[in-house]
Amino acid sequence: MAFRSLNKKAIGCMRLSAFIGQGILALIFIAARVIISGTQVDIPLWADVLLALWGVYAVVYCIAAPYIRYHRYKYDIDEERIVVKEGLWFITKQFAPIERVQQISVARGPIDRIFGLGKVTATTAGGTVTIRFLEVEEAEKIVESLLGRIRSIVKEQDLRV
Amino acid sequence: MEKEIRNHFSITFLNTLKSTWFFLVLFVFDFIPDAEDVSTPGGYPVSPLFLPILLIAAAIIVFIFQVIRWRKTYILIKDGQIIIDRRYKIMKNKTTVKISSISSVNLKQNILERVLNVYSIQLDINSAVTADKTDFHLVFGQKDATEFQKLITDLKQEARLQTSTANDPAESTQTGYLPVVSFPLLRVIRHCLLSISVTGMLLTLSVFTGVFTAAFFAGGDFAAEIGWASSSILAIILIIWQTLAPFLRYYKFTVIKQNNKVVISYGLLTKQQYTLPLDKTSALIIRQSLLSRIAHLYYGELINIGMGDEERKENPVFCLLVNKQELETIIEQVAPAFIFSESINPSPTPALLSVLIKYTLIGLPVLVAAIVVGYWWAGCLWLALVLLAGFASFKTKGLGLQNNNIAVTQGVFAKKTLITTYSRIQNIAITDGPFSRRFGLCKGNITILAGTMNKNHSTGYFQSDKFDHVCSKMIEHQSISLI
Repeated sequence: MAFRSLNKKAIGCMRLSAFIGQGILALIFIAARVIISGTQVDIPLWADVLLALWGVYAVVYCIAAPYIRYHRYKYDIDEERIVVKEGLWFITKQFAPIERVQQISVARGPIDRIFGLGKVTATTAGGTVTIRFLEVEEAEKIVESLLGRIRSIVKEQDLRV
Repeated sequence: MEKEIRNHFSITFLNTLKSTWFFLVLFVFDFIPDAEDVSTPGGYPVSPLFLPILLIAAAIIVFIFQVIRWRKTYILIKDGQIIIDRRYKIMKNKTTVKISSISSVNLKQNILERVLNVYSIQLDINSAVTADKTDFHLVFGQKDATEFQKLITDLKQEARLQTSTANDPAESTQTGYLPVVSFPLLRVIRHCLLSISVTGMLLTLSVFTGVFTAAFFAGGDFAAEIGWASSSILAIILIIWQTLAPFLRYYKFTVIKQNNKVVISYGLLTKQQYTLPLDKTSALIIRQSLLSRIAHLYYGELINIGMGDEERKENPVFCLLVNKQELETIIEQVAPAFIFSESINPSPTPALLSVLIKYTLIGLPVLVAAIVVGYWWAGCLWLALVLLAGFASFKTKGLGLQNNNIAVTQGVFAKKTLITTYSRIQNIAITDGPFSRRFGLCKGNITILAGTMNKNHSTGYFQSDKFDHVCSKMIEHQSISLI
């Protein structure tokens, strides 16, 4: 299997997603802290310490995690299979034979569009395998080649019947 | 059958009752206690009657709607399709289903339907999207119901023969009618007693504990003694219901193989008959409760595409509790494609570390909360129980690989073994973590075509080359058309 890496733009996309995600969490925690401190409830010191530690973790996560995830993200599509490897602490390899794929789609979220990226989702009868952070042209090439492969598999199956 | 027919008229009563039973319960609990106020001097003759009148009016409106719905709904079988046509004046709704896409045609008869001598026909479509519910529900008299079921089954068989690919080499070529197994009363009772779940046992134990604690502290207080007596009755009813309900459900359990279909029938109060096409079977599940594990007994379920028991959210059972040898004999007759004769390997010892870390993280929040509120001993006890569950889960996990089949075992106190063929696995996700990676271990999550509860099956931690083997077998074994 010859695994392919993502374009460097993917790091920026991952970093922005991480900032947004951690930013939303930070807003929730800070809002809760402000609301509780406005009441008569005494917030223990350890809660503030935990919040501060989480803040440090969030900053480190936003800086380091996208870099690690980018280097770990690999995908491979050949005549027979789709394989996607990704993860930070836990690395997951998603595998689906192309012969099981029933539907292919391309999607571009708002963050993907900023970086000119998209994702390809291959759907089998049981679930999906998604390749994310692809350049738009690359995504369309992959879709075309998968559709072509699926068409030839369907033709082979019809001939067998 | 190109003539249009309607459902049996009793469907109007049954559907009205289904929609308004809550009103009736409200009526009983609201009106009856206040009934004496109606005629008592100085009572309130109007307000106690208002709610019952409103409830009765609501029930009548629902009944009228059901009658209109029954009158305007026609069922027709034409050109290999079932057409359900609703012709209201303000809107028309036509549902057309290809007979070849019907997964199963099942008959059901609850007590009310038995009184009215009608049957419910449940049609399930080959679809993972609708796999969690019955897709169509019709009601016919006994003669019409059996004729309708036979007609659909024959038309499905015709459609299947026209498009048959026969690419499942291990599938039985037996034809005809073959009784497989019938469970007498004692075996049904054995199944009821030994298949009680751990959750059920804990619930019963906690009810009893509550009852006896209340009795202990009741002293001579009359009200408390009444409370204790009613709680005892509730506990006894709970135990009886837990053992009795499966018996009522599985009474006269019979399995018959008919050509390429399995016909399973059972039930005392609600009679059920499932006709399951074997070419739509995704997998077998072999289950053991804690008690049946001790007794070395097993029972089996079939996972069929598009099919689920919508009331109990369960798969159709094809075998009640039997020993291993009997189970293998039954599987050989019912679904030979799913015979698994190899041993199932347990998780390797290094995997225990990853499992214990996971369960420690699960138990930690409660331990921390318990320490904060001053009940550290309760937190430690909780953590010990969680770790015990983790250890039990580790010991239960298993993975077996055969030439055509795979077996995945999981569970904590109860055990579940999934057996399927590589051709029926749709995709797989293989994960390794920071600790398991050091030992060359991964865990997998295989996905098959089934409803939400049965689609995903996770394995424990095993050597990564086993999962590479599964992936290459998935490529080697082309998917079977289950649709």
